[in-house]
Amino acid sequence: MFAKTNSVSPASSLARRGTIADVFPLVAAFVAISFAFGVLAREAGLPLWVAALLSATTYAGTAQVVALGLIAANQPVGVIILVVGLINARFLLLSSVMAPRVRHWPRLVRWMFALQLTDETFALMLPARTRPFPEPREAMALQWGAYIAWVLGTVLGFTLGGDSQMIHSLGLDFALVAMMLAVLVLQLADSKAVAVAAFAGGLALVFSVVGLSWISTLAAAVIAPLIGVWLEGRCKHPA
Amino acid sequence: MQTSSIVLTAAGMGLVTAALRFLPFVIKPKVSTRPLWTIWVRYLPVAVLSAVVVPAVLAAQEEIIWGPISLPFLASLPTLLIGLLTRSLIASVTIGVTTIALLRNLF
Repeated sequence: MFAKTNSVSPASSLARRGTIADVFPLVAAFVAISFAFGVLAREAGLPLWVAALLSATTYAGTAQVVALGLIAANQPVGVIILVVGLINARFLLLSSVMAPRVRHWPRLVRWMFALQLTDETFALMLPARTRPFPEPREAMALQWGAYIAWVLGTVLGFTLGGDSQMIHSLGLDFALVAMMLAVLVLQLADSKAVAVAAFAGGLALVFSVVGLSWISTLAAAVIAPLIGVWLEGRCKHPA
Repeated sequence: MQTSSIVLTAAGMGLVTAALRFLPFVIKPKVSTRPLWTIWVRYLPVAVLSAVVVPAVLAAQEEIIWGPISLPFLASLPTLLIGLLTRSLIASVTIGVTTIALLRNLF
């Protein structure tokens, strides 16, 4: 059985599977993580409806967790919003990449698509060696599934979750990391992609070690793909 | 913090984030057809994923057990292995969460 699966290259196996197959794992991981956020939000003293509102409108894990910390530390409202804006500035990039690909979709579908874009759905819809870009219906299933899971998980975590110690010992906070690890290895189709991933990971690691983890994704997202651009340029014009 | 301030914060966060997601869909950036941009875009998903995952696994200082080895790092190994062997996201998530839960209850 292993020999059989090994003979399939990552790109082709990903291509054959399509986007719909990713909906369930993404929903499971999002419920686990937003459940944890719901527990944290209650511990930080937020009312349930505000926690749900945060998940429904900000809809970005890192920013939401950082904001909880800043709220607990009594930081000024303007500062919190500014920090969240910086953390989420990467959405400008992700949306710039997606916008031209969905230009022909109906306007309302396109707008909801924009508001529901996340790192994870972005990475699932746009693999390094592309499988066909999802049809509007597939993309909507993925993005709405993830969105509903996120809001629902928040409410569940807030209302019936235990404390953060329980989340920790159940390992729920690791669900999204585990899923993204798997998506990452499936997308490492060639040595250039591996080089970009290694550089991005290294850069993000440096940022988190010096205490700038909140902006590490943005920095690595901007800089690391340049390695890929550089490597492809070198292949085309060998020195 | 007062509830009114928390509500204001949440509303502001939501508006700012929605604007960041929405702007490129209404103002169309001209760069989107340049060849260098398309290569850069092709490597963006891998860069984003790696930037999120690597620190989560390698910079988990509060869960270090020996040298640079942390519990998330240990749990990432079977996760990667199952991901490579089965190419199934749900199997990877299940194995990853189960492994780290076991490790945390052991250590």
